[in-house]
Amino acid sequence: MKVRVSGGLLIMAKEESFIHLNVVSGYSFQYGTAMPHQLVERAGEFHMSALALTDRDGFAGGVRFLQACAREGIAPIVGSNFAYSADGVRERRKSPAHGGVRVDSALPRITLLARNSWKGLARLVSAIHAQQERGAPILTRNILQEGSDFSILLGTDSNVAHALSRRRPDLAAEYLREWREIAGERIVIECVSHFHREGIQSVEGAARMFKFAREHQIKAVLTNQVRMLNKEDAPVADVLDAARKLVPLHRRHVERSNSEAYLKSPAEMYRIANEVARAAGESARDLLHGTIACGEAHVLNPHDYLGGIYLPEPEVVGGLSHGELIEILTQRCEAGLSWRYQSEALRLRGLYRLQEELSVIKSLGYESYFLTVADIATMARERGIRVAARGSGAGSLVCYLLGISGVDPIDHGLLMERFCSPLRRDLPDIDIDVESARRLEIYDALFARYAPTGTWPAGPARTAAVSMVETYRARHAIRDVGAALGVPPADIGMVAKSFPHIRARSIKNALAELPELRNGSLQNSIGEAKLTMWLSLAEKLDGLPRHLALHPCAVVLSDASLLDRAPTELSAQGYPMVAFDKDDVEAMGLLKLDILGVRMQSAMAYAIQEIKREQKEDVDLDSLALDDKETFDLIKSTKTLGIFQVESPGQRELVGKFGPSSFNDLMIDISLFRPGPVKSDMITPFLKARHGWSEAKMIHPDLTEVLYETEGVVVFHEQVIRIISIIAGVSLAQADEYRRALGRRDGLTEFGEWFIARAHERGYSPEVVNELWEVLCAFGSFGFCKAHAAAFALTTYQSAWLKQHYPAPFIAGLLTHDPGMYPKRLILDEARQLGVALLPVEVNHSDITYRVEESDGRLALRMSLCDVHGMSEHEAATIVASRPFLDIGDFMKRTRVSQPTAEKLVTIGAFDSLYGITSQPGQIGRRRTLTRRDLFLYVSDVSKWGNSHVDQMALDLPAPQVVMSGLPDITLAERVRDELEILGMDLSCHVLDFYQSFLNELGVVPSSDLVKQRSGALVFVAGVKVASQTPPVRSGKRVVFLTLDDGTGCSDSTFFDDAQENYSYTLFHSWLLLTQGVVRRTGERGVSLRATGCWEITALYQLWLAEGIDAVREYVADRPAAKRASQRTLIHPTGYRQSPYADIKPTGESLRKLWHTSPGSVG
Amino acid sequence: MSGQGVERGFLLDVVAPAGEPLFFTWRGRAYRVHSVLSRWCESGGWWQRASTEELVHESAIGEINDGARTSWRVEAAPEGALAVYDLERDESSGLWRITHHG
Repeated sequence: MKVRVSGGLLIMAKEESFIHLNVVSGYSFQYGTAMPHQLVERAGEFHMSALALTDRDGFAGGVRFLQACAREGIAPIVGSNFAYSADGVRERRKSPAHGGVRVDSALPRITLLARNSWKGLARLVSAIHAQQERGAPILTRNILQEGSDFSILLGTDSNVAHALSRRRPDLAAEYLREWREIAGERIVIECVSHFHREGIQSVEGAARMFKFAREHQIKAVLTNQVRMLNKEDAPVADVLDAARKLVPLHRRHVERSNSEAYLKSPAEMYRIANEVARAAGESARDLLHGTIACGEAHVLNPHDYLGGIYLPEPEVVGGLSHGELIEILTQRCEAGLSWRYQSEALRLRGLYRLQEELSVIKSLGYESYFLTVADIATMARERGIRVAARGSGAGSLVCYLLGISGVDPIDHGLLMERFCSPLRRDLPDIDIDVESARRLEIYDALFARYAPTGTWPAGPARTAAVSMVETYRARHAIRDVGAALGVPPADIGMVAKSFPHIRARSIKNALAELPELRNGSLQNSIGEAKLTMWLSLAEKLDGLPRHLALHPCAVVLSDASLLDRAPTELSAQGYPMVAFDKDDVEAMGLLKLDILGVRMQSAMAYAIQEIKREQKEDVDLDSLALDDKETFDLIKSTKTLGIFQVESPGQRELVGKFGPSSFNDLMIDISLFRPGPVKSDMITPFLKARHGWSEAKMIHPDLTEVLYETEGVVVFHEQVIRIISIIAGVSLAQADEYRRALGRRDGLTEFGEWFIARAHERGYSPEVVNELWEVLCAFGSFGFCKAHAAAFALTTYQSAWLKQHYPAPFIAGLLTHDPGMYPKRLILDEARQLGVALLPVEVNHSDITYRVEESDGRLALRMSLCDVHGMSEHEAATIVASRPFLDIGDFMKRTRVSQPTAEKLVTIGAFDSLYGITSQPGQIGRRRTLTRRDLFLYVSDVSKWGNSHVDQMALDLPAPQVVMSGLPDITLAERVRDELEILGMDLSCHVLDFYQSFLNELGVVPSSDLVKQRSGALVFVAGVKVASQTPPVRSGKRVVFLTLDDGTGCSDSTFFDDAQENYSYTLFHSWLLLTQGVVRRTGERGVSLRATGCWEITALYQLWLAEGIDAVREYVADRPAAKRASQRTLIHPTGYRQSPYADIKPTGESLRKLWHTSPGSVG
Repeated sequence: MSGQGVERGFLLDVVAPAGEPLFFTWRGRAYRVHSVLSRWCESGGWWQRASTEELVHESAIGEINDGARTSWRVEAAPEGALAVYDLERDESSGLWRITHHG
């Protein structure tokens, strides 16, 4: 066939527009290369009136797309693209590389466009995901037939196109007949010319589609099957193809043959229409008009989905009508008054506040919201699960009375307005903290009540989990691009791991800036050119969605229309999950509730259980008086390890300086230890005034009442609200609106003008007004919500109280649930310092958890089986269930524990008591003295015998006996090494003890003696790394905090730029460290080092052994001149400066959690 | 993809003011394009050049040359006899080649 595509004038109607009906974004996971808002913005530049988003397998980007469309004034069209198989049977092709399951199926694909509403499409997506295995959804005829409010686009991947491409118009007509049976007039044929040389996406192929549509009187549209924003994005698409299919880049695996699938301009699309129409001998105008008409028929109104509020119906929370709900809420709150307050005066005070709050709730119609959250808190309590509100919700008396929160907002000066106000339409945010170990029990109860079996995916389900979009960050991008380029896995791992957990777009900056990456070692091992290309491509994946995951704590609650509003799928954990993330569901007006698993709650619940079991005492943490002097003395002593929120090195320093002695002080302490206060330097003036070194400045007498509690320093959001309210004479609700404006650059100026004028008007002097304005600006958006601090402080107080009064059970809880930032070995050390004896793992005594036992008349801690490396939960449970054991043979026979695990148990002495082994490590075994070494050999004999015994019953070999070999027992050093390897803890003695003579000779200062050093002295400290953190700090440069433990306590060192230059590699990648630094006194008990260098101890130890102490001194004195790399500083809208590497997990990895590498949070 | 017996390396002078070729000079003779029979675009395979010097240079600035080219199948003639020619334009260098004729 000879096709003439040129030779005449082109119809170029520039003033006319075009509507793209087939466009996928990054939400077609690992397929599209652009984000919805980018596509919408480009469509805006093209003056397009509408744009479709038709992502694969759902419309997870739907809400973002609608929001972008609403912003740009473009009408949204929402659709989705699916693999189709009439009967759901998939063709499976195995991938040679990975034996693969996730190979793209060869099934045809079709595109559905929602008509009038996306309800039908949402239901269809849920139905598909409910029927099939995760990850490879297939649309079937049955599901397709159930819905009707969508059109079906048959494009180049449809069976019709496949037939036409094989020049089988008869077959194509047969397929079309089937489609018409299913969807009648809702069928549309889609012509695509990507300028292929031949085939269905060539000009001629598109013309064939167009002619076919004409012949069968079907609507035809022109699309560009868009998967990129720009032509230049094509290599990114290739990498995504390879990553999705888990194969290296090869023509065979790449889906494109050119770069035409980008969002083309109307002019470009007109040109294509002309060429296609000419080739088909039809009219281009018809094709274009058909396309635009089809688009206009599928336009949705974004406001149908954004901004409403859909709370559970009255009958779900126990009322028949809305009016009844008001009554129920009022009654329950009034009952709460009698429960919470013992005196009449307090009840009256509460009643007054309650009436105010209730009228706000009523005016907003949020009764159902509060009752629903209360219902969930009650569900938890009924199951005996600890629950606490977090966040601004604690500011509401209603939350306190309903048992959602545990702190009295009136006592602590917390404001309802910070949480919920008639001036804000977005739903207030209540988060609840529950025991981490029992969080899913609450999920189960929640789903049983709000989405009972059978209501998903077809019925009126009212709850679902919320998803979280996992996007490409540096390490993943490097891994996927490396794999696509065929780099050997070892090299991929090496390059990926050498980067911190930063955004992909910052890879090259990190390479240029971070001292540990600048040494050129990556370039040397990979090759400069290859590395550069690899990393440039990885940067281009920045922020692209990889897949949907279950959000760790958020659930959504709604009325029965949930499944009409949001597409859902089943999460890997088996919970229905909406395909939207938490910002999306909030924008849609669905109630989002965070149910956070807090390990400290589990640890405390466990401690209470142990107290009850071993000491037969009942402890009710929730009714403690909040003024126990001993508890505050403990906090002030800075021995806060294990206490919620105040155990980090920075917090230890702060409580040492501050000395909090009341619950209110705890709230202040927690709030001061945040980026905002650090940035605006609130800590120093506060402490000076607190300690009486300077006078508290109240700015103006009107504010004394507000600022008194914090010595004139503004710490809390609540104080800002009150200041604005008092000075400007507006309501608290109004004041909170202005407070929110402070965090926005545009809002700041506007509010500033208003505030200053208003304050002048009300007679405040210019000096006062200026000073106030400075304070408010500095405060920015970074202050802390006092209600949130109160909720935190309660847990801080409770955990400190437990540590003070029940140290052994508390430590057992810490070790069992591991809530804190430190490795367990440091918690063991803390136990030793608290005088709690440590009992080794014993097969006849140890449990799956850490138990408190009485030993020699005092409480001791029994190590648990759960930390034995390689022991499965099942093995541990079997051991506990099969106790007691007579000997190793009996143990192995009845538990069927694997030989390596049994050997590990022998190695750490879990059978010592069974065999009466009491020998000290290193002792030469005398005749008739068994050692662990003998037992170790015996395990292998028993194991062999056990195997042969099973295999060859007839032989009936005699069981082996334990033999005393007379070999020397393992040394103490070997024992500690084994303990570290197997338990991750040095139980017998501190690991640093082995280096003590060397360290003494070098003159290393023990941590406990640091406080006696004079300020400015240059000293050595040594220890095991327990934490390295890179929190945000004021100067905006990356600062690394290192905490070492040497058995006498912890020492904290700070590495600034110059010290990082030569030592950051050692710092991040070593475990036993010697640090040199200048002593800095920070308070009565506070001391830290400004580090000047650090070295790996074992290397120095070897040097000492070989050449003596002078060689070591010479070695540490010789340091290369620091080469400075300029680091970028991020400046926030409020002027807050931050290093781009703050709050980012540093590099370096450990097999066992031997130290804390922090996401850097200062808390 | 290149036709048989074609001088792949032979560069052409092409007059194509709006992208579409109108005239070209080949083997010393001027040809006028009578009509465009078809047009196609190809690109890809950038990763295969990953080891060559060419890419080393390109990748140093982080730009990846995807080898994009557009082909125009045209009917053209110097005078008299009309024949079919495939003209290919390398999109990054802007150079034209004849890839097929006859």
